[in-house]
Amino acid sequence: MSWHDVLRTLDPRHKRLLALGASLVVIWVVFDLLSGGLFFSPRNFYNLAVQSSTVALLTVGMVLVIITRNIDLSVGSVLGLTGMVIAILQIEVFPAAAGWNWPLTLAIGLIAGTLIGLWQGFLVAYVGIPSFVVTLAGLLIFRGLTFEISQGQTFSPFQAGYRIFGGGQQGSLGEAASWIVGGVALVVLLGALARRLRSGEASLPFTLLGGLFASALTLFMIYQFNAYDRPRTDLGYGIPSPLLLLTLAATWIGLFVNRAPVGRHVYAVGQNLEAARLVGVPVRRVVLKVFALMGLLCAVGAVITTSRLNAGTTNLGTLLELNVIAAAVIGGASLDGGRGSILGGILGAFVIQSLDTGMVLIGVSSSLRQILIGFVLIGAVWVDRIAVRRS
Amino acid sequence: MVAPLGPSPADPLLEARGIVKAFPGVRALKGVDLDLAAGESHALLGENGAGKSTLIKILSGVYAPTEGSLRLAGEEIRLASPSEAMARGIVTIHQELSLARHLSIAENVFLGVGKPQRRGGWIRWKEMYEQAAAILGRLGLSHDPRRRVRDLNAGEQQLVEIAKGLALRPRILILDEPTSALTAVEIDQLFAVIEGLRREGISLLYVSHRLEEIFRITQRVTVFRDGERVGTVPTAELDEGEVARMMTGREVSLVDRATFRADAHIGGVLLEAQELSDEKLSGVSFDLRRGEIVGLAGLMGSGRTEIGRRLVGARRGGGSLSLNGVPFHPRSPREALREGVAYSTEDRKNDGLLLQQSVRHNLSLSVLREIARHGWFSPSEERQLAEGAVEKYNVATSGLRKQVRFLSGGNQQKVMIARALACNLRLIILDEPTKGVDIGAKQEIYQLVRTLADDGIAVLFISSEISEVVDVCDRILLVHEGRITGTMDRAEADKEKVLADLLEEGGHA
Ligand SMILES: Nc1ncnc2c1ncn2[C@@H]1O[C@H](COP(=O)(O)OP(=O)(O)OP(=O)(O)O)[C@@H](O)[C@H]1O
Ligand SMILES: [Mg+2]
Repeated sequence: MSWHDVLRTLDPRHKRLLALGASLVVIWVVFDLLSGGLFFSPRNFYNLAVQSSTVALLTVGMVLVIITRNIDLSVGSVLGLTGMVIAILQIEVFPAAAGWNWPLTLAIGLIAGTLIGLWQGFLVAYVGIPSFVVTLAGLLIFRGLTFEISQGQTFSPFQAGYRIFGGGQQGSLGEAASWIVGGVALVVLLGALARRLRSGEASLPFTLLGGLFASALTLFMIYQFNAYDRPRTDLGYGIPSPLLLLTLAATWIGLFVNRAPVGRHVYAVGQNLEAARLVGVPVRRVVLKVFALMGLLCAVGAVITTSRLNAGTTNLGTLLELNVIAAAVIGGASLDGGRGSILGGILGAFVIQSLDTGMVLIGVSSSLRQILIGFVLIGAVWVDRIAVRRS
Repeated sequence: MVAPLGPSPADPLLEARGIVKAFPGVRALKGVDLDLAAGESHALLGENGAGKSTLIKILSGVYAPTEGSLRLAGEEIRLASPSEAMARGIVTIHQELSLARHLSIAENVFLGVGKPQRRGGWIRWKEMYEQAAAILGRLGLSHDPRRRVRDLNAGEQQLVEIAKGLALRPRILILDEPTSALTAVEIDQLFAVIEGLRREGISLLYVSHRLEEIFRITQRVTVFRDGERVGTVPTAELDEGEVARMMTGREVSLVDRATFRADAHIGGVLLEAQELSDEKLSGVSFDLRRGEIVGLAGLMGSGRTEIGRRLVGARRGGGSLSLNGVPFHPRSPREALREGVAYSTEDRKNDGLLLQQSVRHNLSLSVLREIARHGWFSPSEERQLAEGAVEKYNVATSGLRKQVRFLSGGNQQKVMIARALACNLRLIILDEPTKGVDIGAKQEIYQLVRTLADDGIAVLFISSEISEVVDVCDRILLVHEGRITGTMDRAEADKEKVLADLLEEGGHA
């Protein structure tokens, strides 16, 4: 069998995942060459992973929102507002020395994010306002609220315990633990791939290529994280906590999507709402849940971001929605609803963030970066359309 | 088996030779021939998935054949697109409707030809509405052509689709199951139109699973089985049994279609409907008993579907329902399902199936929650369930992962029925359950429905095919313009009587 034949027999969804993986590798290598080795420097790579993790985490939620044939334009603002709520409570309101302070404010932040999501989901699913309108309003409302409650100030610093979520000095696993966690993750992943191969869901070429890519990526990333040494030591940082959070959240949500009725319902609602309703899918509740999850993920993103910056600022998460939506779409989520993949969205987030970081490294201006990412978005969907038409 | 080849006309108008069509995982056509004489009416028959629609899509420029050639009036042609086929006078009304649901009837009728235009590109709306009304009138549809298509029921939409084809002034008209949602009256009207066209010299290729129609309007029959041509025979030399034997390759008994049994055990009242009314219904009252199959017979637009949908809360309105003597007011199909009342739609494309999802996901959708434990279902259990359904209903598919839209129409229908019957039921409302299903599978569905009834489940059976209602149901309710105008017991019902009563109500007699 020639390469061409192998490619032709692949399931389109699998083909996309492999294409995304391949693009990621190409982007990395090209930027490494262009930047004279800077891209693959442990420090840059570590920061890239941390930043991509936040985008990817939100993308997981966005993919589900888009599958239900909705959109969420407010994610950046929700992240900003929940981050600010946590910052003000932890730094201004509650005693700075109390041990219970950061766990409590963290919990309040997560609850606030979920409540915001529920509110928007309620407006979309039960009141029937289009999500574009609800979340466009949300984008304005929550950003405005952030300014109102902070009076435009920046709050800093957070409690030491809180800083484990942002990566860096406090938020990294260390060398040994990283190898162990990475190993376990890899075993789980390869196991899942093997199960799919056996049940006939994945073809042999996909399993081999996917397995190879995943193994190489995991090992390379851990090697890089461990090569990034703490100041004045030769102890490596290891896996940053945001990446760990992303992995846990994505695995958990992925399980729901594949193994719980509600996961199937999400797709059913997006593909044919009337049909779903007639077979007894609780269509409104499904949409409500998806928006609630999106809100929760925004709050987790807020925790990671504030913890990393060690500050709550008013512009936290500004314009983030654009990268998140772009990542979801590049990852294969269809704005017509009913189609999209979590893994694809995560890879899409890494692709976008890598392009952005890489261009910064080689000194591309921010305006030019925007233009290029815009074209990448169109290009990705264009290729997708061609693939759809051919099948 | 030697194919009994009928006399083939000396110079056919349209000729297909050695057509092969391969899709990933299946060869839908394995080298078939077909010829169509000028002015002839030709039937194309075969079981679900035999390849009829695939050939039609090749003749109408939707698919390019993998191998083989087409000749039109002796000249070899290549059809790169549907518009090219139309330009050559080949007009096709496909099995799956392709109407723009948000546009008006008139706009849909002229979707293919382009709207009547004045110089400068402005649409002459008045002219368009008049012309549309004229074409629709020939088919017996008297709706205002300004109405939106999405407000029409399945049968009315089918007529609009046919009108759209007629507006194109065909030389060859291909009809893929045009009557699957029509009742006797519209079928008569359609056949009158077809007969007129044929006398004008138009050739007709006609697909239907209702064999009696084949004998009424066609001169020759071509039968496909598994992507191969079994034979082409003059219709006059055939009877239903022979046709069925050619289609299936085995003896099929068509005598005992009726699954009705005098000793069927009919229990107490399960559901009682009182004075249901809304825009389409007025004062509809009836009851359904455990173990009983009740048929709703009526003409197009009489309100049968609306009655069915009211029972599961997919439609709102006045009146009251009770289930087992307890008031029952489902606000959504989901609430109805919780009480074991399910509805299976007449329109698999628009509110039935998830076309872009796999056979497996479609089959399991209604029961996922039942097979889930602590909120999780096991994929292997789901697969077994789907495998079981595919086997039981004889769904022709190259795999459980095939997207439903790539199944043949009849097989899609089977998936939908299988899904409905997999639920935990007390009452099932089946709206046109055999739409597009071949004769063998119809028989199986009748049997299954009877088995359900024998298990004490109540069945409301809605169908536009009166003979089927008579064969299957224990009791028949006649529906006319949103009212129930009569009840017939199985013992007193036969097809002619039901039809006569319906026509009388409609003032057609
Ligand atoms: N686009 C497609 N991709 C893959 N397989 C297809 C596609 N279209 C049709 N098939 C397969 O080809 C076979 C023939 O399908 P076709 O629609 O021609 O059947 P049919 O004779 O029209 O049946 P029915 O009576 O149910 O309408 C089926 O097995 C179907 O699954
Ligand atoms: Mg067909």
